[in-house]
Amino acid sequence: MRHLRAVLTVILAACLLFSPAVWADDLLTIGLMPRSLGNPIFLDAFESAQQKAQELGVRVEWLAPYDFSTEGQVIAIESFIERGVDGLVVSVNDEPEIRAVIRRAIEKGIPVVTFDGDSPESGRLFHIGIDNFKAGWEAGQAMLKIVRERGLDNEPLSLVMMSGVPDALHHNQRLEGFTAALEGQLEVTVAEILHNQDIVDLAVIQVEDYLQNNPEVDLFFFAGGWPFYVPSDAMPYFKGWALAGGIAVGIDVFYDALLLQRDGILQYLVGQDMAAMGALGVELLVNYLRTGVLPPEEFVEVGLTYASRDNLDELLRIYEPWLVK
Amino acid sequence: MQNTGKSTCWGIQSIRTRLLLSYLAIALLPLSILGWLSVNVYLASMTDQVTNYSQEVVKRVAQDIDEYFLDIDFLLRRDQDFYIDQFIKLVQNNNITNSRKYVFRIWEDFANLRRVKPGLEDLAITFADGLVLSSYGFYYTDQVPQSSEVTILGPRLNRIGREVVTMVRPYAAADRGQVYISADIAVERLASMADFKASPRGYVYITDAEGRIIFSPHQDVVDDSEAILTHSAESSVTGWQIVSVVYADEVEAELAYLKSLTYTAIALVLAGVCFLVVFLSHTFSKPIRRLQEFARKANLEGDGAAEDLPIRGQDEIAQLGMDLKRMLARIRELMSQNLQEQKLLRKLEIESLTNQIKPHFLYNTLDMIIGLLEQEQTDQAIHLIEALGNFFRLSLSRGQEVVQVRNEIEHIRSYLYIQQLRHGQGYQYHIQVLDPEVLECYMPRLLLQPLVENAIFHGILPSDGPGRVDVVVRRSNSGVEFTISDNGVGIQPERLAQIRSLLSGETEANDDMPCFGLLNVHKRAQLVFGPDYGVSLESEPGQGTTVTLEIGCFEQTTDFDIKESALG
Repeated sequence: MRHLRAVLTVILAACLLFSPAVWADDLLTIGLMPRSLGNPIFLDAFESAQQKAQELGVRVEWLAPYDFSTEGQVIAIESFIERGVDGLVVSVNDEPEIRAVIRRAIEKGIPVVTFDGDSPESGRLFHIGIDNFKAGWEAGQAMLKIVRERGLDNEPLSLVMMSGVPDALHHNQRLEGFTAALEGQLEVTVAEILHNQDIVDLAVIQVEDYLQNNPEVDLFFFAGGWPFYVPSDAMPYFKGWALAGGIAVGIDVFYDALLLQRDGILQYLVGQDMAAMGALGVELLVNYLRTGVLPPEEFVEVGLTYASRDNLDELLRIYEPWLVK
Repeated sequence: MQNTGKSTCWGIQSIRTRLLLSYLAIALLPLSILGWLSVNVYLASMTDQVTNYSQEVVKRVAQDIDEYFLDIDFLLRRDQDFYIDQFIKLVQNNNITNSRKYVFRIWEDFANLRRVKPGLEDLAITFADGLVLSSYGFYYTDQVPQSSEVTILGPRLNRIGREVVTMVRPYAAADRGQVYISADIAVERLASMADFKASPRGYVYITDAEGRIIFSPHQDVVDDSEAILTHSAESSVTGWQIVSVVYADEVEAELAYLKSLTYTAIALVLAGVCFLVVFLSHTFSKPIRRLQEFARKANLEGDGAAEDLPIRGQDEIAQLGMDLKRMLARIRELMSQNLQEQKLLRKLEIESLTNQIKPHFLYNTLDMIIGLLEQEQTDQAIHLIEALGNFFRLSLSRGQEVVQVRNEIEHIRSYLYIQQLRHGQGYQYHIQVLDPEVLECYMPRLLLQPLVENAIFHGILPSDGPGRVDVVVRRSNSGVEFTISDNGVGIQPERLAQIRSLLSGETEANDDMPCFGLLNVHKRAQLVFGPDYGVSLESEPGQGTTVTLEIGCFEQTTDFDIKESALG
């Protein structure tokens, strides 16, 4: 398998090397596709990718459906293919339609790299992201610590988890990491897994509706920061539940999420460096297009950020407010 | 020439056929006019309807398009949009990396507008160097608008391959050149706005002012091989022409369908009318045909066969049939009666004739002639022979049934002369014609002789004194009156009453009665002229008897012949 991949990589590199774009070394165009335009978490990647593109003297095009949908993503990738971009950096779910369209792009001579959400069987060159299982595990460990600090570790607890879409590989890995951290440590029952379809507004509504109807739930784990873009007063049930003793931890660190943590709504956050993903995606792909050199590993890991009470003030100084919501 | 029932039942002159044709004409004429009017009125109405509907359709589509594009133009008028302005400034300063706040707001705004405005496929901010910020994201394009006015471009495929028309409005001037704001409208939306059909195959297509196709549901906008009806209207906002196409053959097909429907209806109604007409004509003509059959049987078969035919119903024709049936029976009765009367008349004539030509009358007269010759009374013998000859000649009358009164008078004159000589001048006779014109009348022969004979043999001869017989002829009110009077023995009252009873028919006569001659004359007169005519009798015992015979007057022999043939 590894030999086959190496052969394919060499062939692809040779094709790209002799492509007009590479030979001309004129303005390369890199297509980036986040999961959706409506999820602000990707704005870090958008900005860093633009910045990296300016540094490298290439163009970045940023295309995605406003609300996440596999169909919309397929259309966006086909648009890039039709446009004839030089390379693609995409965040996807590992679904058959996605794998098929990535293969079509590769057949057209467009190298594809994934970031954030991966589709390992699609033939993409490499993946840039976090160790999603580890991120979930770390969040689980933080949850475990808080439960023990509150003396609830010997009580049966109910847990609600929020994810994006069921086929999102990276979200599922985060859920697996989180539940693995709690396994054997707490008597936890998963009451519900909420899927917000990667839509921020829907995530807020789901959280509020669930906690309005089920205020007795004890624990909440967010596999992404979808509902963290609104002020705490905009989520009264969530706020009331958390202040009444509910424990919520999640993944994604950004200024608005930190504000919720400051207000005691969220207890712990594990952040993924989306800016690094955007920048690395452009940088490594352009490097590959120009030199044919691939990263040493198929998985390019970016580090995790942890937000606890101990470093909250420092993080609030580092992160800038987006004010997009 | 005789017509059979079958030959006249369906002939052109038969009542049944005439009824049939009349009803058909009455039914067919209004139906044909109605059908013709219906088809033509509906054709005009349908053409007007198609025209009006097509015009209404294109106007409505043009109006919808105008309203839609005015809405889009309103959305594009964003001169004071803070986020777009800030984004443009950042792009001008090449500070795209700090544009997240504005980019996200613009995306969100554009996404919301797409949600609320069906058919709005994309909104975009386009810079002169090709940089585009649209609801799809952030990218570059080679198709940068160049117009300084509101322009509608396309149709074309947009960034994600959707077929759109693009409304472009200059947004603001910037260091990097003109900035445009544009909206992509899905051609599908235009298709839905133009989704009207004035006919099943008809359609609406849209062209720009130069005639280039903006939208058409068909690959070939107009099929030259087929006749079409087109109506168009202009969209004042876009300058487009909205054209409605209706295939002429569809209108014709609709008309043909209507025609076939109308003709089928007419045919069905006609079939019903024909059935009704045949039924009615059969019903109405049935009594007539039965009457015809009745008359035919009466004419051909006779013998009462026709009377056996049943005639039913209460209508006029049935009543006529009943009257005809009764009339036929009456005719047959009269014919039978007449036949009997004729037989009787012949019998009476023969009897009268036989009675006259009695052998002893002839022998005596011949003996008397011989005696006169022996006595050398030659002149008197000659007169007698002449009288005898006249008597027999007039008796036979060459077989004529009727003779003139003149002849009948001459006949009795000869008879009286002969009898006067036979009885030795024992009586006188006198014949007086008061109205000579009656001598020209015709009458049955041998009516007077029996009466004169009676006057001689039953009146004068039995008496002792000199006898006299007077015969007077005059015109009566209804014909001719003969009066034969004698001054003989007269008739006894009982006998007179008996004779009168016989004459009136109250008493049945028989051959042995002595007044056979009188009754013979009376019956013949009544048979020929009717019951108002005949013999009447006046008599006084010892004074004599007066017999009056009243008959009609035939102007000519054919009168009697006509009556005879009618009776026969």
